[in-house]
Amino acid sequence: MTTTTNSPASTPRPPAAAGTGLAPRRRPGKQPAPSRTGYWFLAPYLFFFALFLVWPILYGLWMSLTNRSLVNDESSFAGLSNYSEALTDPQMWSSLGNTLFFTVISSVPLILVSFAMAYLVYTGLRGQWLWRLTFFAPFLLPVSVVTAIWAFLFTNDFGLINGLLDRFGINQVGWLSDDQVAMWSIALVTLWWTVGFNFLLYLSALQNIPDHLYEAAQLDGAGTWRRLFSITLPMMKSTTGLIILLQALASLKVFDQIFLLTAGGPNGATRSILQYIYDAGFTGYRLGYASATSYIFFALIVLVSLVQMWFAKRKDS
Amino acid sequence: MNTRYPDRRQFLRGALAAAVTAAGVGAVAGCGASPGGNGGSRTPVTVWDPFQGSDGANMRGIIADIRERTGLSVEPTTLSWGSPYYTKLAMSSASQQPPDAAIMHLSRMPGYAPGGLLEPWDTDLLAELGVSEKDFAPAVWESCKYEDKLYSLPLDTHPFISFFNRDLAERAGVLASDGTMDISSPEQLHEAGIKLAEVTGGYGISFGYLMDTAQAWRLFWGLYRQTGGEWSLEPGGKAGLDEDKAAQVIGSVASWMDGKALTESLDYEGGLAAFNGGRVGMILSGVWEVAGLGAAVPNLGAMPMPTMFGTPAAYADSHSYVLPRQRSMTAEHRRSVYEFVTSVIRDGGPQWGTAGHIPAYLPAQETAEYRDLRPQSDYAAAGANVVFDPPAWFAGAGTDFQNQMSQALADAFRGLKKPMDAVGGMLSAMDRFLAAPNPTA
Amino acid sequence: MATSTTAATAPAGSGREPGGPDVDARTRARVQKKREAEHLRTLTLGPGRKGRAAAYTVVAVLAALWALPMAWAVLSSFKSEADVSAAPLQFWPEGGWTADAYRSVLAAGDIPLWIWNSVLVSTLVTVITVTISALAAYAFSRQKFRGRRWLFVLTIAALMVPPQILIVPLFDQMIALRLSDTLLGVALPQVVMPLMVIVMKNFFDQIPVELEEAARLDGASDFRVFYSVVLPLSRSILTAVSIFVFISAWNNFLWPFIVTNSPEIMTIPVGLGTVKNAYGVQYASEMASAMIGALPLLIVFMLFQRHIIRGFATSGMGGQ
Repeated sequence: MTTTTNSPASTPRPPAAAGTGLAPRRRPGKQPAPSRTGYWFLAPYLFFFALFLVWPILYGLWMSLTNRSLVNDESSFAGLSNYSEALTDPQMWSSLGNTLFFTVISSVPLILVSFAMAYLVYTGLRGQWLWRLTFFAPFLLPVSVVTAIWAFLFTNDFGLINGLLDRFGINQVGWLSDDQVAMWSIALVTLWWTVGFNFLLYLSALQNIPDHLYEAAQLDGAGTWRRLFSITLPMMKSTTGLIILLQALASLKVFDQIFLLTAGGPNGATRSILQYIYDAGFTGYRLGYASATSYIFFALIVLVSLVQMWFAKRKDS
Repeated sequence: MNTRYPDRRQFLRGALAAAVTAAGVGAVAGCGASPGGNGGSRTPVTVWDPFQGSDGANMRGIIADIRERTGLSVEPTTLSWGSPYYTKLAMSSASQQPPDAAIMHLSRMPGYAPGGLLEPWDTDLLAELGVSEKDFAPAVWESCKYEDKLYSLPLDTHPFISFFNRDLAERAGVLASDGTMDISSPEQLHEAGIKLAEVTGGYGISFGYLMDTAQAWRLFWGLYRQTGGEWSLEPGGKAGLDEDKAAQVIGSVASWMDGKALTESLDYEGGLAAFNGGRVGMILSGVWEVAGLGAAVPNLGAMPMPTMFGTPAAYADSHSYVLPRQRSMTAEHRRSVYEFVTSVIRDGGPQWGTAGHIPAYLPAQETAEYRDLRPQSDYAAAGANVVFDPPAWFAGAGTDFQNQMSQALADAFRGLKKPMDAVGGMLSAMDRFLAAPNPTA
Repeated sequence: MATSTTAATAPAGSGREPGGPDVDARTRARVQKKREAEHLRTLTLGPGRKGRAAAYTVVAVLAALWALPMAWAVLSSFKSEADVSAAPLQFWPEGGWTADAYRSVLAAGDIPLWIWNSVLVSTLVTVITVTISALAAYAFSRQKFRGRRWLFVLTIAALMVPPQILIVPLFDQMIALRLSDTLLGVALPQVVMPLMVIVMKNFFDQIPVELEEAARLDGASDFRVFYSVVLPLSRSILTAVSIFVFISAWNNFLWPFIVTNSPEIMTIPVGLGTVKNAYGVQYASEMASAMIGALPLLIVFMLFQRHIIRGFATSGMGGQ
C-alpha cells in the first residue's frame, strides 16, 4: 500500500532488548547455519506474492499488448498501439492533469492542517482524548459513509452548507456540479476524511522531540512563536519529507471519493487517472487499453518515488 | 463466441487453480461461493434495475404485486443510473455471475448483444405467456432486434416531449382549441415563447442542458430526425450527417435562446426549477419528469414534441428487459424468469405509466386505468414516432458518446460557436468513436 | 482506500506510558501524566497565558469543524424524511425526532449482511496476512538460504506497486479462478502486503538472538523456536500489524467493488456506495445507513483507542 522504507529502528521495541542489556543485533560471526527451513517459512507468503502480485503484473503487461475486451472473448496482439493511443489521448492527459491538480490542492492543506492539529494536541492541552478522537475518527469511516455525509452537506436548498449560505442571503454554490468548484470540494472532503492519519504521524514525531531543547529555549526566554519556529518546526523536517511523499502518492491514487461523489463529472472536471483506467477498462470494455494506461500510471508512481529517494539521498550526504 | 471459456482462460484457470488447490485454499472455497443463478431448487429470480425515485417506488410496487399474485420469488437490486449501472452489468456478465434479468436501455443493447453477453428471448415461450410482436409498436419492436433475434423486451418508451403550464399558456393566449399548443415550425415555437415571456415577465420556455451529459443531444437528435436527415456510422469509416439539416436544427435552437423565448443559461435542475416555480410556461423535457412537474404545477399539460421540421419524430429511449448470458439455468428457473418479466410488462403498465413512461405493451395503453392518467395519456401518441440513438456499440443512454455530442452542441446552442462548427465538432467526435477499436465486435 | 496514507512513525516514548498493575501505581501514573502535560504546556507554549488561550481557541475551532459533519449526519438521521429535506434548513425538526429512518434501513435487511461480510473478509485478510507475513519476516530476519537477499529486494520493490494498477488483470484472474463474486475473491488478493513483512522483519531483527539459541540448545525445531520464543515476544508488533491490516481491509473500496456483483457478497463500503435505495435519495435513510456503517469501527476505536493509534503509528512505516 505504501512505498517507503526507513531506518529499521521500529517501535514498539522487542521487550527483551530493553531489559537484558544484550546487544540488540545478532553478534557478528554467529550467523545461523544455512538451512532449508527458510523456504518453508517463506512458502505461504511467496505463494500469495506470486499469485496475487507477480502474476497480475506480468499478466497485465501482456494484456496491455493486446486488444483484450471485457465483453468479447476474442483478442489479438496489438503491439504498442495501446500505449501510443493512451499517450496521444487528450482525455488521458486531462485526467492526469486533474490528478496532479488534486494532488497539489489536497496535499498542501492535508500537511498544514494535520501539523497544526498535531502540534496543538502535542502541547498538552487539556482534553487530549477528545481532540484525538475528533481529528482521527473520520479516518476510520468507510469511504461510502464519508461521501454519503458530504453529498448531503453539499446538496442544494436543504444541504447544510448551501442552506446556511441561503440563510445569509448568499447565492448557493454547486459544490459538486460546478466544474470550477467540484475538485476543490473533493479536496475538502479528502482533507476532512484523511487528515487524521497525517495527524498521527506528526503527533508521534513531535512526541519524540527531546524536552531539553525546549528547556534551553525556556532559559533564553523565548516566546510561544519562537519556540515553534526555532525548535519544533526544524525538528519536523524529515517527518515532513516522509509525509509529503506518502501524501503525494496517496493523492495520486485518488479514486474512491471521486467515483462516489461525482463519478468524474461534471464534464470530466474531476476525473482522475485511476477513474480513466476504470472507465476505459470496465465502462468502455477495453481491458487491454486500460492495462496499458495502468502501466503509464505505474511509471508515474515509480518516478515520484525515485525522485523522492534521490532527494532523501542528497539530503543525507 | 459460443464457447464461454476460451483457451486463454482455460489455461489461466488450469495453472492457477492447480496452485490454489495445492495450497489447500480450495478447502475453504465453499464459504465464499456465490448464490448465483444456478441450482435446482426454486431459487429467486434476480433482477437488476437502475430505477430510483418514483420509478423505483413504482417498480418495487409492481414486483410486490407480482410476488403476491404469482408466488414467484423475486430479488430486485437497484444500482446507480447511467454508466455505473452498465459497467457493473457488463462486469457481472463477463464474470459469468449476472442477474437472471436486467433492465437495459434499448439504446445500449447494440453494445451488449454482439459480444455474446446477452441471450436472445425465446419468442415462443413469450407468446405462450401472452406477449408477442403484435403487442408493440413496430418501430420499437424492430429496434429490439439484433441479427434478427429479439434481445430486448421493451417495458416502456420514454420520449423527450414538451410540457406546459395550462394557466400560463391560457393567459398568454397560446393554447389551441384542443387544449394543446399549435406549433409546426421553429418560428412558431419562438413566437409562443415570446408570448409566454410576456406573461411570466422573464422568459417563456425552459430547457436545461448546461453541463448535462445528454439533454442537448436528446433535443437535437429528435429534431434532426424530424428533418428527415440521414446518418451513417460505419465502424472504421467516416461519420456522415446531413450537415445542412443538422446546422439548420442547431441554428433554430440557438435562435430561440435570445433570453426571451428561451434562456441559454439553464442546467438540468435549473430548467426544472424554473418551470416548477411558475417562472416559465413551457419546458422541453423527458416524460420521466412528469411526477415532479405535476406535483409543482397543478394544471400541467403535455404533448409530444411539436413537429417543426416536417416529419413527426420524437427522441426516445426504452427501458427493456434483457437476459444476461448465464453459466447454466434450469428450464424451470428460466420459466420463472420469463413469467416474472412478462408479468411486469403485461400487468405493470398502468402503474409504470404513472411515473411518465409510456407502456410499450400496447394493450396496457388501452386500459381505462391508463387512459385516466393525465397528462400521461395525452402524449402516449409520441410512442408511435420514436427515434432511438443510432444503433452503434458506443452510443446510447449514459455513454460518453451522448456526453461528447451534448458538449459539442451546447456551445452552439449558447451561441459560442457557429452551427456548422458544432456539426463539424460532432462529426469529428463521431469519427474518433468509429476509429476506436470496437471491443464488442 | 484512495488517499489514506499508510505509514507512521514511532509512537510516544515509553516514558509517558502509564505502567504498573496495582491501583496505586495507576493513580500515581495518572498524576505523573498530568504533571508531564502541564510541564509540556509550559515548555512548548511558554509561561504566558496568551499562548495557551490562542492554542485552546484554535484547537476548539478545528475540533468543532471536524465534528460538525458527523454531528449533522447524526441529527439528520433522527429526523423524518420531510423535515430533513425541508427548505429552508431546519435545525430543530418540526415533526420532532424519530428513529424511523433506522427502522426502515434495518428492515430492508442488507446492511447487517454487509457488516457481517466485512467482518468475515477483514478477519480472513488479517489472519492470513499476519500469519504469512510473520513467517516470511522471520525467514528474512533469521534464516539463511539461497536467494534470501534477492527475494527481500523483490519484497521491497513491491512496495512501489500500487494495488490499484492490478485491478484489470486481477479481475480476469478471478474469473479464471472462479473466485469472482465470492468472499474469498474479495479477501485473498488483499493479503499481499510487503510493508507488513518489512515492519515485522525490522522488529525481529532487534530481538536478541541469544534467546532463540537457548531454545535451540534444548532441541527445539526452527518452527518451535519461532512459535514459542519469538511470537510471545512479538505481541506488540502483532497487535499493531493486525489492527492496521484489519482496518485497511475493512475500509478497502476499489477491489471489493470490482470483484463483487451480488449484493449478498458486498462489504459495507461497497454495499453502501453502490446499491441504491429504490425509493429515491432519502436523506434521513442515507444518513441512518451511513451511521450504521460507521458504527463498528468507531466502537472498536473507542474501546481500543490507544492500541489503534499505536498500531497505526507503528505498522505504517517500517520504522522511523
